[in-house]
Amino acid sequence: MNTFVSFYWSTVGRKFWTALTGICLVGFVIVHLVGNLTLFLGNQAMNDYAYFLETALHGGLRPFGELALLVLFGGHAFTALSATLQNRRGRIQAYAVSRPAGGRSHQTLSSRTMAVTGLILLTFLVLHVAQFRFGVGFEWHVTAESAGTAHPVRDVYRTVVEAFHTPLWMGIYLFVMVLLGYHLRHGIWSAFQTLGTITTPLRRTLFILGAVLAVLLALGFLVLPIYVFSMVDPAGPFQSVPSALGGAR
Amino acid sequence: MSTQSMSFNLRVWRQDGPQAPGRLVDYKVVDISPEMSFLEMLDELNVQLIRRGERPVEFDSDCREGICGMCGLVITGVAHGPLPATTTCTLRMRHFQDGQTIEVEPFRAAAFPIVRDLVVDRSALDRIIQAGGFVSQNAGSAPDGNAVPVPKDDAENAMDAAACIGCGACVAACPNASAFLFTSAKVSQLAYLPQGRPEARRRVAGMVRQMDLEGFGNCTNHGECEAVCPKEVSIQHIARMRKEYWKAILG
Repeated sequence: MNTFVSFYWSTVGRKFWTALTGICLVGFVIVHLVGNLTLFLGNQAMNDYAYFLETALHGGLRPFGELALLVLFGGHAFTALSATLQNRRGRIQAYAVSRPAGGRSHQTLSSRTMAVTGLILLTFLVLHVAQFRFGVGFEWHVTAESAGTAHPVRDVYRTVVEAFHTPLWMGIYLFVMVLLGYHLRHGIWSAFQTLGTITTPLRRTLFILGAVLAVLLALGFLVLPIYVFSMVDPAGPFQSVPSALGGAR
Repeated sequence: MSTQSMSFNLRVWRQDGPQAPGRLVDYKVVDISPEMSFLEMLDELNVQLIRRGERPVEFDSDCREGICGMCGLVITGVAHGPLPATTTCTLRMRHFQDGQTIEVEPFRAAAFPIVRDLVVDRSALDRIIQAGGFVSQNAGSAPDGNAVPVPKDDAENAMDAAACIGCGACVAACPNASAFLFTSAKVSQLAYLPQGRPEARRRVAGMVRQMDLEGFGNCTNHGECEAVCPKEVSIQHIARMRKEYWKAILG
């Protein structure tokens, strides 16, 4: 136990956990984006997907997944912030003049702003979960009947459409998704560098691939709110019931 | 041969002692040969200061041929100046523009307290070496040639790491004032070779613990250290040290 604690609090250990949780979170973000793309298939597909997440593994997937995400996000933020505070103590007096050396450096605007973008993303996450997971302010339900009993089921599709038709919310999402791209631009390759021996050619490849993946993920999340915002008649296709509960009417 | 002389506007960090406040002071130097090294240019400044009865600018230097690791200044905001793979002493004035304003600051880190002016105390790096950066087993007499096989790649990696002269530019350039590149070079130069393996776990655990105790920051993979390193030590060694470390602690 003592060795585990000393590993955790060492400079090497903190970054190890930050990188490990970070890689897992990138995996989650990819799955999240793929799931969100059901929006393009319409209300039925999206509410079916939401219903699947609610009920998969006899309803066990959702609490287990939410607990795992809580641990991952919390652990990632905690270790990264504790490392950031330690780094600030590493240089008490700043340089009067300091500039990047260029050349072989991997320093970018993204790498210098990880703590700032991370904190904004964390704040956004609280709003995002309140909005779409708990549906605060968007109490839309559809009533479904199965086996003779009526179930109220949250209309996720309508919640999304209502939210992204508010210019303020769309603006917040666009801004934060650009920051997500910035965060991942340094985060993805950096996590691989932190997690093990990567040779110099592989590192340079990952430096580029990480940027490409970051741009793709950010674009993917940017397209959704823009698509919804540009929908002409958002009220049209509401009232969709998950097909597992009887399908569309 | 160019015989032109150059002049520069220097802004040099002056600080009387470890606790004293410091500031950038403007000096003008003239009649500087383009072939002079940066330290020779500072020597010229000091001659001028001594003649005026002022205290000369204190800075560290020793071999002045780029192999001892004693010199080290942050010049125009970059450790060891703008030229890559160069120490301060082998940086020539021809690499600057005539009439240029040049800021000169000490290596800054909480673990490198300023002694005076541009001189910093880098003994924190020595204490990291003392915490395990050596081979203490009895190796016996010299083995026969090729009796201990070492793969070519391992030998090259160990030699690349051993090129580290311990100047501390990696710490100075790192936004986090991290000593990961230095420590990892000193771990790698032994870890790649058979003679270094028996004590590998104790070595890396001790050196990382000491590095943390000295108050250096974390490595967040900016890679600035590699860009300013006069010996171009690769951050590949940092990845290697991390793996060695968790093998030592958790394995």
